[in-house]
Amino acid sequence: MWQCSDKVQDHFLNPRNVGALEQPDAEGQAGTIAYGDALKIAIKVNRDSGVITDARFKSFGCGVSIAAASALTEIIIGRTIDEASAVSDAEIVDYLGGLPEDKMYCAVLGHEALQTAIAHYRGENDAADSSERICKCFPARKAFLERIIRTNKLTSPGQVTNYTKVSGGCQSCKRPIEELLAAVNADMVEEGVLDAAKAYHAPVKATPFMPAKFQMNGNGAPPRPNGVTEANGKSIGPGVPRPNAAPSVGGEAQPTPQGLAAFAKLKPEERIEVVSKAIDELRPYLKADGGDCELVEVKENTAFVKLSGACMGCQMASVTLSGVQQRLIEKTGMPLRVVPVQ
Amino acid sequence: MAVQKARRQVQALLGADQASEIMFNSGGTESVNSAIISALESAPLRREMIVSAIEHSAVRTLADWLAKNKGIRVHTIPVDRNGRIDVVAYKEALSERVAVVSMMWANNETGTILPVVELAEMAKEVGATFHTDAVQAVGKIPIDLKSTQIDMLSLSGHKLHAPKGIGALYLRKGLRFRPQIKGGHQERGRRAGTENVPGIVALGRAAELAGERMADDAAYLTALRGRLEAGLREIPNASIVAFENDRLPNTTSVVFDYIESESILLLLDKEGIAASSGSACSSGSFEPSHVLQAMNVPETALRGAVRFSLSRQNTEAEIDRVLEVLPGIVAKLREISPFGEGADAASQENAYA
Repeated sequence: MWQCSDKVQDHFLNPRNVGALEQPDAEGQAGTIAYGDALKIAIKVNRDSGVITDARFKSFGCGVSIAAASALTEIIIGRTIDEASAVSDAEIVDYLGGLPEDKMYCAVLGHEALQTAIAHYRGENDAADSSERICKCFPARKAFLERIIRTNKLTSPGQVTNYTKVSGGCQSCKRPIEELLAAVNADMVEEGVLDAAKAYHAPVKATPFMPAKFQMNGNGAPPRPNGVTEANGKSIGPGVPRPNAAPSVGGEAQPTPQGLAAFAKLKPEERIEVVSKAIDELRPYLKADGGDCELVEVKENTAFVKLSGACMGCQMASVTLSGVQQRLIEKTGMPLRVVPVQ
Repeated sequence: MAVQKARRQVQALLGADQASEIMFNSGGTESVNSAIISALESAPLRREMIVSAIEHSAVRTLADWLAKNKGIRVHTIPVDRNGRIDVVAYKEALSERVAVVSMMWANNETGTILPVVELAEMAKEVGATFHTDAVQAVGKIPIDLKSTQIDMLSLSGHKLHAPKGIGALYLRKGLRFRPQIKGGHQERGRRAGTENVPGIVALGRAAELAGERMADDAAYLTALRGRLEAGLREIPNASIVAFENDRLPNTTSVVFDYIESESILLLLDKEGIAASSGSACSSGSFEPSHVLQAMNVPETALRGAVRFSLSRQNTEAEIDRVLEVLPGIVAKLREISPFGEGADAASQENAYA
């Protein structure tokens, strides 16, 4: 904060236009206590000229958040509603003489609150953003993120976090954010609004290890039955993703003709659903022995699973896997192959 | 010789049986990592570990990584609103599949003290290795490792006024240890790499001083903190975290409803008062503190935590100065806040304090 511009410090220490308005013409708000920053803004508008004659704010948040809200009220007082609706995140930042990179969301919050107030004034139903929610920790939806990326020309995931807090918590949405940013940037390049050299490209995802003999033959037919047989107690070391264990145990379950026919018809997502349901039914037995198993993905007729807990490094892991495979075939009637991955 | 002397000084502070049980390294995070990974390597057939919900990120991040990449099943034991560990859940999680238990001795955000001596005894019953992250506790409360079942203890030098970048790991004699930094034979082959001799000497001396002053400091800090907390409790909608629990004598964490800690800290700083926030918000993450979340601090106060850490150099006059300016700062920010007084009744009802 004390590295911020004098103007930011001044607006934080002596915020202007704090409070509520009696009989405001419109009110708007953005953010919540859970988000960590929240802003309420109220405006008075001259109905004839459309000029904003007064504005007040209340803010919950860090110092910059308070300063940005204070600055916003100064910016809009004296402007018409139309002029105010054109105020961008960047204008708030410029007015304050710049903001630290990781505080950009404060300007975004001011902009959002102002937009809801203007929509309220115009009697517009602020249509709730019903697009996909991407981040678990912070409530930001896809359409909102896309707009922020476009208007501020963001080209790195770190910037997206700084402007919206998204992915600034548990980080489990890191990948979807990278993909969204890359897609939006690609569109912007196509539209000629972004220099191709600056556009963001999502890092290439490592392809799961899969030796040649497990590659499908292209048309979705079952692989040739030449899988390695390791069910006789050879260990599968932890950390080494090794495909193993085509079942070699006697009396194994056989895929039924009906199963085969049904299997061929299923769409990929339906295959995943059927297999993951079957695995979920098996998990309690594995958990009872301190292990666990989760489905990673289904490709063609191969189910990639991840073993954990006691299963890891267990000498019997390959036997467990053959068992899982057998049960899956029994339950689904499909010619499935189970391959462990890390 | 200098290193040997430092080892004996740290041994004395920890109440360890032998000086050779002390292994010097770079600090708390390295200690924690090498302790936990070694314990897992030493018991390859045990694939589970237990931690508390309020561990430092050195333990938390490692546990998450082990769960994700090494298939280790991690049991996270919850705490109640006073930061007391759920012993029933702990007992349930303990089994012969558990390789290592890691519980902090004292929490860094709230100062709450965990009953690690008892928890270690319970871990021993199932043969699990017990590690404690005692970074916050060492030098502040009496520790006598030889009378406990604790196998490993991590400490960091700068928490007891030694320089940054030096730490130590206590390894009970006879415990199997797998070195995590491989190379030469330094530290009895347990931690390769050239020793940080100046750091080690400083840590030794700091340990000696901490031991000498601990009792006096504890009495002084408890009194000082009592004065601070009595004043803090006068502030409306403010609550001292884990007030009823055993805590380190120097730490107090207070949460204020409806306002955000960074702005409180900034205004305190303007008055020349240094405090810190309970959360990691200022350090690169936007998430509120996992410790306060684990203690069920409600949303209204989760973002409003301020931690005061006292040392022997603080005076009563300084405490009075804090109490003189803080109520005004809180009032000013509540004036700006859209929540709380004057706001809708629902948010009032949900207030924490």
